[in-house]
Amino acid sequence: MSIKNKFDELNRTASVYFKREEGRLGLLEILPGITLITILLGGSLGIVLLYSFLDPAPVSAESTFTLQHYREFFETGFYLSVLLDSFIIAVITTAAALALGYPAAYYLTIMDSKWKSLYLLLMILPFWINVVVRTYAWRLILGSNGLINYLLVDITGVINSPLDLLYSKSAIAIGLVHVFLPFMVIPIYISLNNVDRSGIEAAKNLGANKLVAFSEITFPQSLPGVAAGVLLVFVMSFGAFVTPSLLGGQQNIMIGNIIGQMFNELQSWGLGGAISVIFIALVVTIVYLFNRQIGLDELYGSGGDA
Amino acid sequence: MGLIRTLSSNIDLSDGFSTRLLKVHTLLLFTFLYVPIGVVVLLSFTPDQVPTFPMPGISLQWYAEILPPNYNEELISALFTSLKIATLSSIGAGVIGTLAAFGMVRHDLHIRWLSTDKLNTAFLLPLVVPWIVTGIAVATLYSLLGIYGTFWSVVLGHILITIPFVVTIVSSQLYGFDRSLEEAAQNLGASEIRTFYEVTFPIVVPGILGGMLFAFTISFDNFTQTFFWTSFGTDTLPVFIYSMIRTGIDPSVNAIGTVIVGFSLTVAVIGEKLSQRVLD
Amino acid sequence: MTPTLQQTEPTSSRDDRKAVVTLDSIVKEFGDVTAVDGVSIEVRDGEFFSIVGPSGCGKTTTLRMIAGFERPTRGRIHLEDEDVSQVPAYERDIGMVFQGYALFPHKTVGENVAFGLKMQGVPEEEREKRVADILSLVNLPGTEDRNPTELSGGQQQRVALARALVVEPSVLLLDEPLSNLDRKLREEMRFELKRIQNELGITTIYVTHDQEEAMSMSDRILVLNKGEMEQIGEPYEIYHGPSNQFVADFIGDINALPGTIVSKTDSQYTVELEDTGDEIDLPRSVAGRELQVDARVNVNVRPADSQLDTKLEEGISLQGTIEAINFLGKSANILIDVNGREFLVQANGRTAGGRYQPGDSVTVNWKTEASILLQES
Ligand SMILES: Nc1ncnc2c1ncn2[C@@H]1O[C@H](COP(=O)(O)OP(=O)(O)O)[C@@H](O)[C@H]1O
Ligand SMILES: [Mg+2]
Repeated sequence: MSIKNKFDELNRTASVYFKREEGRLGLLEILPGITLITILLGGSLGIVLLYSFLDPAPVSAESTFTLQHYREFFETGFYLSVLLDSFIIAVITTAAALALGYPAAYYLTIMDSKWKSLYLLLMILPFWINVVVRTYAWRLILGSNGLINYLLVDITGVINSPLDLLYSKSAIAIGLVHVFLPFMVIPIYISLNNVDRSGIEAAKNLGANKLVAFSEITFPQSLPGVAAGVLLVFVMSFGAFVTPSLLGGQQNIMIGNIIGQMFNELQSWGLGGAISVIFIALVVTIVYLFNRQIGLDELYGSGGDA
Repeated sequence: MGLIRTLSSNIDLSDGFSTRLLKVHTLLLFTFLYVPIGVVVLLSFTPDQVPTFPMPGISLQWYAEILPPNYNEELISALFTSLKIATLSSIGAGVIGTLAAFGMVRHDLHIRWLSTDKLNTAFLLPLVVPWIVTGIAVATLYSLLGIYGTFWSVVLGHILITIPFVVTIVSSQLYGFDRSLEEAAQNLGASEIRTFYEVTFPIVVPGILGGMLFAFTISFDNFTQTFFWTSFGTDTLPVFIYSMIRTGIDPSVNAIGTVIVGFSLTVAVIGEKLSQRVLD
Repeated sequence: MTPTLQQTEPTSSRDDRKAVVTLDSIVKEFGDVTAVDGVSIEVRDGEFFSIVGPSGCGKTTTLRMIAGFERPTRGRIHLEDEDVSQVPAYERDIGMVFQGYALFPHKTVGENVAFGLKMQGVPEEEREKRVADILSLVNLPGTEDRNPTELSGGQQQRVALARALVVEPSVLLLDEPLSNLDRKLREEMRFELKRIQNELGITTIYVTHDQEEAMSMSDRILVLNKGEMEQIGEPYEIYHGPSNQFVADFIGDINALPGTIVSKTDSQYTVELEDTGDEIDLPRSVAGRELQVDARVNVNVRPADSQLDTKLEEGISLQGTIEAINFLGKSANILIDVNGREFLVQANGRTAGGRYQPGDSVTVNWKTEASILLQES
């Protein structure tokens, strides 16, 4: 009788929840949003793509089709090396965020429930603070008059002259980890929290020690969260803009800064367009390969506000 | 929204040394997250012309610069620009996003090439395209149209980048909506329109407001795209702070930063509490 | 065991009442699925009419068409004399209690119950009075200001009922209203529902997959299977005179012995049982309809009509071995292996309870007239 009950309930919910109205009203409701996205996002990306093949860009009477911008990108070693640097910084950031975030996410799942909400809140709160302010904070820490040099030189006297910490690739990576850490911790925490605990108990009953139980049972089940976190952090740091421009100085820039400069200061919209197109193509390829490797469909990346 | 609450269903597996090690790690991570923020706050009270350690004393002079009567007018105007843009764009995204969520969840469009899955992806696109690229691309379009740097163009851009949040939050609420409530209303004599405003709307409105609150903070905080969209007169607060940082060392940045930290944390905590109430 | 509330009124007097709900060859198709296939019923004024059938047989769909949430693919629906097939749900004078209650979570109990009155434009004072009255009727007086979420399942159920009844609809529809309650509450609510229905005399259509529930409450029952009507009748008729094997199996436990009709006369059929080869004679009255020689049939008998080791004047006897005994106090369910087929006997607890052990050889008997002879489905 009880199975019958369940069945009936399923049936009922199915016929009520999935009820969908027919007709064109739905189209009307979607129209404003779809129009905005198509015109504003699709249209503007289309223009960037167009400009990447035009010389001169923006479009004018003498504009002609050209591959010159793409050629320039690949022939000028500088752009390629910035792209490579950006990639390396993004990989390091992602690895560091994973190494720091995973154990913390794990601790959040096993900790005493009394403090859990507080810890979770503390983990998420920085996300709400403006990224410009958070990045600026690192200047006060890493700068030659910053907190670290103050502690090392003035207070402890470990060294005599201040270290050059700011305006380096490490400074960028530290800033990016700080900004994007919540995006790593939260997905991992969610998947760890969904791990079926009975499997772990069973493994322990069968004599597995904690480490074996973790590596055989818990870790594999947390992989979807790891994959999500890795993808989010990687894509966002790869396209970072604020963090490198505030912590990297003139010498250490990332691809986002180049794209920004091309459009804002240098007015090279053709070359800037070509770099944007190459960058998007690269990101899409990486995400695609990563997804195929890991086999996760429901993940989506996100641009970076840093 | 409601993240904390959803996340904190508890599991107990307490023991020994490794747990303590993990705890130390987590606390160190909190140090890493909060020390920089603490430093901003602390140095906002320096009497010095440069925000450095050691602090020779305590002073509120930098707060005086952001408060009447001697406030920095550009700063306050940037603040108001930000508030106006965030308000208008969260309303815009709220309306457009809610409509889209209703259309996607509740209707069968019967258009073969436009499945619900594809629509979902389309509405996430503004989030998926790297933000720097959205920034320059939309700016390019705006200058082509001759509206670059105008107030409304920035609002429109912010609607674009905040729509995904509203659509996601509202549609997840609509998917969980018990349609038999609406049928019950009709059974009791409520016409379709009456059913909508007596039953459907009051039940989804917390989700819509949650989505709009999210949109508001995303808009208020946005830097990367906005940086490419604004010009003199439409600079938002983050853009203004950024240029302050870029042009020189000025401890009033710390005072502004501290105010922003306090404000953001309050909003975040209220948002979290609100969404808990909504879930109950 | 649940006592049954048998209506004592004679059938004929009810038949004279006017039809309140009439379904005329209703068909509902969802794409390729035919959920309801040619259902025709007439539910009369004041009647308690149940629709039973296994899950997925189209009960909910039928009810939803009556309420107006689904349009029939074919066929007509009449409410009193009006064809309502094209009338929207909110203009039909029908109350419904949903399986999940569907109480508005953002409104108080009072506001929930008053909702229908508000839609009708009933003035506030009258609204308040009628809400208070109906809440007393469902035994929840003074709960107007509570939140529905604070109430127990059984209380929510009563609120849902009150909300549907307060507008005094001409028909009340209930879709598995008790299935979310625990067993004890469910049985209490059966009495409650029946009491309220009697008190108001409201025409009621009740959907359930629980045949026992349907039998204990209904004036008439429709048995539905795969969207098609199997039988309509009073509980007694359906239980003791099922018109086919599906109804016999679905309504209560039954023992079915397969066999073949080897000959027939004006007064009786002779059936050869498949398991033993025994030939038994059964009067024509135990067959619902005319059967042909060589037809494959089942000789059915209810467990409660079967006995052990009893001498009967006109009876059928089979030899068997006891497999298991389930003593229930008032009665005992005894499972017997009869030539490799399981046979259930519901014996009197006092006489049979202590007498038998598993392994005992017994004779199973039943009165010839207690047999139900049906064509194999
Ligand atoms: N909205 C619908 N769309 C498609 N099929 C449906 C829908 N509603 C019900 N059905 C199908 O119709 C059949 C009857 O369903 P239902 O009336 O809910 O059965 P019951 O209430 O007797 O369990 C089932 O096969 C069910 O899957
Ligand atoms: Mg049903």
